[in-house]
Amino acid sequence: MRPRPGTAAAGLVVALAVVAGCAPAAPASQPTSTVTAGPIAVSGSAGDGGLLGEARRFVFRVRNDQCLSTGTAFSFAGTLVTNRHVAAGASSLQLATWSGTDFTASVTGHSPTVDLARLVGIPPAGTTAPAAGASTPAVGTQVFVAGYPEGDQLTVTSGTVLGTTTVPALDVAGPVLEISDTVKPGNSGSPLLDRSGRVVGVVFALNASNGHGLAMPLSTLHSFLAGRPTTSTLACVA
Amino acid sequence: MSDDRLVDEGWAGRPGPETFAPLTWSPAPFGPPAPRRLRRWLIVALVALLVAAAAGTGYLAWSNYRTAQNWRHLDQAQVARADRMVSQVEAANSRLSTLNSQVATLDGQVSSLQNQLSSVANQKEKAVDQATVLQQLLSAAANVADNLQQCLTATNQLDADLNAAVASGDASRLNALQSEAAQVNATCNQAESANQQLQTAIQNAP
Repeated sequence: MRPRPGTAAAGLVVALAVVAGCAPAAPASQPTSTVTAGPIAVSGSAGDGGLLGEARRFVFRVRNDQCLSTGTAFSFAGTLVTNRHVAAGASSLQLATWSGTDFTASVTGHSPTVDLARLVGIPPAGTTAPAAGASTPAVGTQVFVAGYPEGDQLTVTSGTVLGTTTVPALDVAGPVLEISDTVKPGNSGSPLLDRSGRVVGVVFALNASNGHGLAMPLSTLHSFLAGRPTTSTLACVA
Repeated sequence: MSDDRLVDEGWAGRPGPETFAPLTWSPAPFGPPAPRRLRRWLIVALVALLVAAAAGTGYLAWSNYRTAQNWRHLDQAQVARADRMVSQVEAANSRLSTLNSQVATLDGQVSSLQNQLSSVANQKEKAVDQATVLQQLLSAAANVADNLQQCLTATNQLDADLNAAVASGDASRLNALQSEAAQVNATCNQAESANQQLQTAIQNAP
């Protein structure tokens, strides 16, 4: 006998701070020095480096030289999107990545009914387009705003969906999302993201009375991109 | 068979001198009677069986000894192999731990460098913002300077016209200068207003 070895994972408040986006570089209303020290780290988010790392790939700083203002834009569905009031007064905008790479984008159109504008430009290599969220986030859902508040560094801040409201005073048709996130001037055109980094809206204003941010839902963005934008040049937003 | 036997048994055809004897055969007795022979066979068989059993037992004992020896050798080899594997796993875990630590350090360094890059890029963008504002201010300042120069030129002209009108003593000429004075006043007010706006803008410039 041979032995064998064994084997052994909004509010309606008209006092809205209009245009959350334009953090005017204009001398008259240059934001005070409330600059954040650095990007806000977001825990429990998608991918390596979290949402901030993800946002760096598709969120851009916008400078409107004609109106001396700054805002935010992001790539989405093969195009660049920002707010109408950010692009107002200009035929082209100066965009920059979080790391300072500049490129120019032309304003190809804006919506007459919602605060959205479409841009055409060639972003630097490495730019990706975020996925679209499945649906409008429900009340209580945690959301994130990725943008350049006060024309500063790219920052991701978190908030919660408080509900929907209408803002006829801002010439924005349809319901918009009200979020607890304290968006600042410069956040206009910022994508509103879910925990997985998918776009669920576009930030466009701030309710000055309560500090709540306002964002157009994804459905509005889809409708805008599917429609035919207006190409007339608007006046700078004061 | 030898010829002698033939002779002895009397089968040869050659006649002998003796008398004839009956040609009968009586078997000669070979040993003891049957029971004794059986016992002897049994003893022989038993002895043979005992010898065979002893040989079988000996073989089994030898075989078990060989098997036990093989198991013992294999067990020692397995223990030695297991010891080597444990030390290899420990060495691998140590390397993994070191690598994880290095990756964490690199992640921290990358994050720090990205923050520095972001900060520097931000400073650059703000510098460009300021440059844009300053270019606008410079352009505005040039316009204000032109407006102030127009005001100055118009004022000097008005002064010269006034002096000429006064020297001529013609009251109608003085009356005619009123509209010119109003235009000069408007031009200067506009230039002054633009200048004030520019000064405010310069004071608020980043």
